[in-house]
Amino acid sequence: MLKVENVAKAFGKHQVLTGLSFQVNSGEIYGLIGRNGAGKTTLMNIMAGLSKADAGKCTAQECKVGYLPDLPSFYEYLTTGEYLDFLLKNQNPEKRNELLSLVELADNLRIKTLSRGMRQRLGIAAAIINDPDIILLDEPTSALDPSGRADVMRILLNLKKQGKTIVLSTHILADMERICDKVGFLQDGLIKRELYVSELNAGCSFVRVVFEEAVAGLMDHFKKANLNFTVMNNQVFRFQLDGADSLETQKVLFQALATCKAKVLSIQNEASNLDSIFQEVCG
Amino acid sequence: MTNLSSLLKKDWKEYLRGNKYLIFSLVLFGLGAMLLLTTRYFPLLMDAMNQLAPGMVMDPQALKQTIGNFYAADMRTSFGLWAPDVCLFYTILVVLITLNIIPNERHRGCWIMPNAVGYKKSQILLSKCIVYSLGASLPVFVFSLIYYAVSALFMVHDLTFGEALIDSVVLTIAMATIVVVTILTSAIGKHPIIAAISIIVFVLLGPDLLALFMFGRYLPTYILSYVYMMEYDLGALIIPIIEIIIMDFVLFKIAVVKLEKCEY
Repeated sequence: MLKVENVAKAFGKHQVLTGLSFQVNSGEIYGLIGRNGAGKTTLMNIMAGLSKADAGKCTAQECKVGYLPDLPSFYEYLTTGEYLDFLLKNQNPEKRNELLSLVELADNLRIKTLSRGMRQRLGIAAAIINDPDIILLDEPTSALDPSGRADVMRILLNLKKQGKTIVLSTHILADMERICDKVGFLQDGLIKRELYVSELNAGCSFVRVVFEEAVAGLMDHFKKANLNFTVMNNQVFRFQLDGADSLETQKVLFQALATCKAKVLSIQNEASNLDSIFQEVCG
Repeated sequence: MTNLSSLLKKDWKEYLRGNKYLIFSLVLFGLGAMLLLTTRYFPLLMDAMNQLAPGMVMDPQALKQTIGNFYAADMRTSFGLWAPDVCLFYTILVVLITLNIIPNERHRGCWIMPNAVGYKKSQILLSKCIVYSLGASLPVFVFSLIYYAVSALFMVHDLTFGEALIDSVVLTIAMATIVVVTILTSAIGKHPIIAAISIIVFVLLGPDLLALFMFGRYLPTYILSYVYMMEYDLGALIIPIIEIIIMDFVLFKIAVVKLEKCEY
């Protein structure tokens, strides 16, 4: 499990991360979503141990971490096989062949002749060379054509099947919806919202209810009504409306709201795909 | 393989496949040949013709006869004098090629993955220093020996093989030192081009200026003026070489501390 707690980082006067926290469970693919300059690469560098946080900590619980930077850079005069041999310290040719076959690359290709997609695949092979438990991928599909993206997605899903925990960032939200278990929206140096992608895929929609003040017993009240909900904070509840029974659930929700002791300040529909949620959170 | 041997293997491939050895050798031998041929055929020839055979240019047969008489006995210059000058010009090229190796690799993020699998920044730096200093200085050694041998064929033959060998070794050490200092200062400084210009100016002017003073014999730059001065006092090299070793060691330590502080 990867746990990030209250991580803060500033470059000069510019505060990039401001006490950010989240956690990724073992075997999950976690997607980091945010605008350009939101701090995704800074966070990745901190998680990979390449950069130090000003405050807070990242704990990977004795796990090995592999990292693919957003613009992986190689020694151009080497071949793909030689580069992996170099990273393996010329000690494990079987491992090199295994990795090359995983990312579907020949071993004699000169790196300077590789396409962007092939470079990303070589980068993924390099990132998993130490058989890490956690793999961090910064923009692994950016600037790739659809077939290149599909190749990378297929490799990532293979890695997930092997039980790897993966954290990736990308601007291509459709890719996130396809492969991520959970996503977090990074804005103003914090994870502003997290959600499980399965909630989107199940055709669920959400209603966010804000109460005027925190009232004891609200959670029990909604549990008794058999409502599916998440407590965002004491005054904000997020209710899930199941796709098929949406109308029925809405009826139950409004009855529960009418009979609860707290005064409702606002009721708001939440967006139900990553693109619209991105606009809502980061727009 | 250990980390360092893997890095050395990788850097040699980079050095050879990047054709840097070819550039270094071509420039070195090109400059040497140019100097040799120019000296052989042009400057002294015209002066000598004017003095020894005025009006002879009009008669090709007589010119041929004059050239036959003129070489090799009458050339008044030892060719040993020219080898360090060729190497000084070569230095400019070597410094310009090597100054950007470390900043460029760091800027592009080439070290991220090697660091992640356990290669230390100090090992990466050491490997670069070894490969590029050997790569740039070995052509100097070969060139110097060939240069002395060729020049001995038709110029005043005033160097023994032993002296030529010592000169070649000293020039090789000087070149290796210049490359190491260039790589290390480029890793330390924010602006490698300033470091490179400083090194070039210092290499071109420093030895001659410092040789004017007595204390110049006890500075690292003496190794550059040693060959030119043709004194062949090997004992005089001990202090400069010890200073060079200490200087390289200190620069290496500073560069490693600086690199360790840098984040990606």
